[in-house]
Amino acid sequence: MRILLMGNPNVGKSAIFSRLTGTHVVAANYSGTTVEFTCGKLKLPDKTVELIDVPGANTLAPTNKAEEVAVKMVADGDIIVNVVDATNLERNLKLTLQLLQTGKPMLVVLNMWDEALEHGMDIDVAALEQRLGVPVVTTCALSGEGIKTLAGKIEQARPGSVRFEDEDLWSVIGGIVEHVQKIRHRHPSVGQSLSHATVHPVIGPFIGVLVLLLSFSFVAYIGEWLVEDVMEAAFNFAWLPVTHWISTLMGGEGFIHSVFIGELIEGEIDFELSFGLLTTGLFIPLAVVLPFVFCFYFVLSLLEDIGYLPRLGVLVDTIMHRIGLHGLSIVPMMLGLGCNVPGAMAGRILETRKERFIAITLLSICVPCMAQLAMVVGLLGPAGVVGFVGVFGTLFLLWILLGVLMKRFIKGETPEILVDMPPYRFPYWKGLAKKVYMRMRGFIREALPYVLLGVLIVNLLYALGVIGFVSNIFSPIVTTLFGLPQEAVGALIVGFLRKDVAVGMLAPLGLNVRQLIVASVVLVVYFPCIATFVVLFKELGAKDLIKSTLIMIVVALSVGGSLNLLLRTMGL
Amino acid sequence: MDKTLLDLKKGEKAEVVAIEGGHILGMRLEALGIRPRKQITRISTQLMGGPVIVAVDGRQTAFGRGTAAKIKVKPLNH
Repeated sequence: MRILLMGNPNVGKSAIFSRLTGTHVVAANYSGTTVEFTCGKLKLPDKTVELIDVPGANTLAPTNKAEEVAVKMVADGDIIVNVVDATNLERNLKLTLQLLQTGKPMLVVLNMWDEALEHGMDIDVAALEQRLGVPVVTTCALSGEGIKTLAGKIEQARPGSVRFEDEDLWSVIGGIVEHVQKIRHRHPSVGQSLSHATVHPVIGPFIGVLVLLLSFSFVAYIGEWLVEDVMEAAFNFAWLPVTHWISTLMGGEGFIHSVFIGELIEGEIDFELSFGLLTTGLFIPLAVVLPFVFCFYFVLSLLEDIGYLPRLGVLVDTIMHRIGLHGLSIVPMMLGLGCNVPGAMAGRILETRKERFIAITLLSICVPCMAQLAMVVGLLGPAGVVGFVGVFGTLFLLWILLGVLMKRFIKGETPEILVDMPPYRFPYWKGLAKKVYMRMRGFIREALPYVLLGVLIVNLLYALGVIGFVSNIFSPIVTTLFGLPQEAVGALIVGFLRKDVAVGMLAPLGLNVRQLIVASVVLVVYFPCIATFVVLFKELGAKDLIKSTLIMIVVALSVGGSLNLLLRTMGL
Repeated sequence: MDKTLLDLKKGEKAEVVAIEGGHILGMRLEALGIRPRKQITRISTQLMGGPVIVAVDGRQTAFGRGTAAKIKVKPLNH
């Protein structure tokens, strides 16, 4: 038996799905978090059934990709659980009535029930049940209230009794709402005043800048503290003696030793420079990258759950239109700062091919993921402010320049922004913690194997002399054009696999400030890591992927070359 | 005289009369509660040609000025 969770965007389908199945999917306070359906198992008293989290749809006459997915799925469902935002009954009932018309057994869930009560909305559940002819339950998915009742009632789902002609839809809905809902007068809440302020034409941008500054400072300072005072200390205290013992056991040298422990630096293991599987291979992802990933996802998830991202999208809309995008493309960009893979997937909330192409190409060229950022920040430490401005200033200018060019030369339309601004919500801390945990677990699962593979390949390629061979072939580009030592070719090769490992390989080369800047920028722009590349193929298709890749290569060569020249003339 | 949402002052309330433009735009606006005979309030407008923010049923929605120009309204006198 297959049960479909359906409803308008941002009504809490994913939160209910997580509650019912125990498998966690990412939910957030804005439309379009779920762009693909997710399956899970739901245990009912007598059997286990399949539960599907369907992307949000406003109508069964599809107007976008997510709705197309939703409509196609209706035919394959045995029971429809229609999730409705209780604070927004009228708007949601259109889909409810359309779903009832399919004649499938159905059950209606009034979610965000607590919020509706808070807002002074009284909905007569029994009267609604009677009008629709299907069971109605109330829930608050974030806290879990009502979920057990919902699970118990799923098997009571039945075809509805409401009959109407299509042209009467809104008058039928009007009649139902008038009959079942009473709204008591209320004063504007703190959330509403805050909502006005954050999209105020003058105050809004100030708040926006403040929010972003606070967010980035939090990630930078707390991240750095966690790396240096917690993780590094823990590694030195607990892991160093173990690796030391293994190193001695392996005789301190030889092929096996260099694969697992790496090279000894002045007779000692150096977690950053030794480059063995058990040393640098574990140290980079767990001690250097993970703390930043944690801080980033904490802040991002917080902003998501509060409901700030759509407002940020409204604030940056004018700027984004200059580069052929509208404001909501800030969502894939922000997600991309964590990891380019979910960033590229979030490109689906954009309507046209032109927007998706520009957003995804800009993302994969100019937006470094948190793993790479953490490593670049560490690498740039000695270069000071000049290094940071050089790398991030270049990336930002490049982002704008490429955007302006693509806006001009990529065919197609950029529609205007059209976005619902969900009410601000207090984050539900347990849900937030679980979301951050899930994203971190995702990072460890996805990244750790690739990092270890990267370190292994580095060692194998060096041992087999491949890197030396390829270095010779590409040395004109790397040494003449970019002004980097020939050994940097190794980093560029590994960068196809993992960018953080690649940046780590630059550390032992003793680069000067100019070389640090050029190498960091080239590593960000020249090619996405393999995981991102696979997603780009899925999202863009082969033809656009080739286009996008050609742009990357041209950009990497020209930016790397001109940056090298420019910095040289500046005397660096 | 036909007025559009763009003609409303900040804080002014109106009734939606019609939505011009394609079927898809109509559907997308309808999904956000904006359809003929609904009351709509213009809340604010971003600077430099930025989006317009309105409230319908106590819920806020933002859209571009091109979209706002397609929403015909009849201002309500208090």
